[in-house]
Amino acid sequence: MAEKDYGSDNHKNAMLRPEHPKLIVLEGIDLSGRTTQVELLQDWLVAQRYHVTTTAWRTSALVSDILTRARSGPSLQPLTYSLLFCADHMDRTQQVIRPALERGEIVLADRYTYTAFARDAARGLDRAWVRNLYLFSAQPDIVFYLHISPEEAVKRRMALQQQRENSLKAASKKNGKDTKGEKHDARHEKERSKTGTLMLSTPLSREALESFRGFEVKMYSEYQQMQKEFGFYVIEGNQSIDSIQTALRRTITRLLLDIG
Amino acid sequence: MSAETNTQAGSSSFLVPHTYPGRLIAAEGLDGSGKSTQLQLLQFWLQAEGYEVVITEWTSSKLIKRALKAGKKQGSMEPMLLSILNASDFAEMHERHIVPALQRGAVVLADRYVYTALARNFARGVEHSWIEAVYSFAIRPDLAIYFQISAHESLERILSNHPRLKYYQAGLDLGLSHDPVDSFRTFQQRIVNEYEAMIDAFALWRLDAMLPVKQQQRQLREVVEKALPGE
Repeated sequence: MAEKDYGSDNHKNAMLRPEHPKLIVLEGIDLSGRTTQVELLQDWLVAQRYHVTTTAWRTSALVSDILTRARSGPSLQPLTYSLLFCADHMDRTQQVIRPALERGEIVLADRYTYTAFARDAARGLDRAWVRNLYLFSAQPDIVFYLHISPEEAVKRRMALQQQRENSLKAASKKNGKDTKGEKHDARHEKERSKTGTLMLSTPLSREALESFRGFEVKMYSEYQQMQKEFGFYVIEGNQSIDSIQTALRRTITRLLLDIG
Repeated sequence: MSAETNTQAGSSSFLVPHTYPGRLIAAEGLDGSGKSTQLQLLQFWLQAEGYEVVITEWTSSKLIKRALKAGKKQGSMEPMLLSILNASDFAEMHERHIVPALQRGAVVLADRYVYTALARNFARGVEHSWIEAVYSFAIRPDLAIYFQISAHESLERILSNHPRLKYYQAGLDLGLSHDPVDSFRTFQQRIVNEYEAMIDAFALWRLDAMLPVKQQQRQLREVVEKALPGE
């Protein structure tokens, strides 16, 4: 590798790199708090002058656009989605993850291959087939699993919806017009969908909530099964943001100092 | 080689045999080898015999074309990425058109099938076992025909129409030559080599695509008839 000479670069940017590049993954079902924790970890590591690259599911330059488009068009087959998600991960592996690791950086991944394993299995695809698709992936140094129950995910989903409805009401009162509120809302939705997290565009009907719950139950069961198979580092997600962050930092510190 | 040996399991074991009432017949071979013409003739014949016939083509969807366009901005797309995008197009067609047609009992004539993806991917140096595993969801054809012509003949037929060669079609991503026609020649030769290697490995039924159209059709009907249901 031509990236041995960290010295001069270090001097220039006064930034640190760990002894070895590290790939740190956060996994968990929807609304388990992954994204919040990744953001906090990034701030913390950068403050310590580490070079950090973050990457999130469904954000590749190449595929995120067609995945978003596919949502508004006629629905695609589970197999098709599976391959498109794999393309997304492959593009980010080639464009973001591997180059950053080769530069000796810390890569924080908000979801990784395990999301695909859980998701595709939940959609009825063959587990061995899906795992084989992702053989090209970089091996993580640690995989944190933010554990929350599907019931907790449903609770959070309902709370989010309530929050959104309240802010909508407040906005329309303020503007005196409904149209303006809707406009604001549309922009809000777009932002959310870009980050790859839950889209709240559909009103939360009984059926929608039931189908959300059903899917989270399946995802949860897949994550539980993978825990041992892949040696996830489990962190209870049903505690305060700070407590979770503290637990993450403690373990990452040990990882960066190579003291296991 | 007789049709009987072809339609048996053979060694194309990475594909799953089906138990649907319909039949899947795949046509493979270089551009300009006459696949489409022959499939159309087969279609007329089969329809006259009372079969429902579905012809599928190997094309890129709008979604994938967008990705390919976006990919140009970051330079040539890695062969594996190109292959996974093509696989997603194929998956959609397979699930949406091929499987339901076979369930209805139709005869599906596939103008190119997984062997096209394999030949092109192998020619790009993608690892065989990986790409075979990717496509292993596909149904094993009851009959897979290889329209055999030389790379030279294929080039004559295609280039005589002065087509605008597409970037990946010409294999320009491989850096074989800056000249699209030169690159296309080299790439086609590689694809022929890969096809030839697949004839035995995947039990493809070889058709001499240099024969007159009528003669080819006669041979095809003979072998297709044996693959039809109730025979």
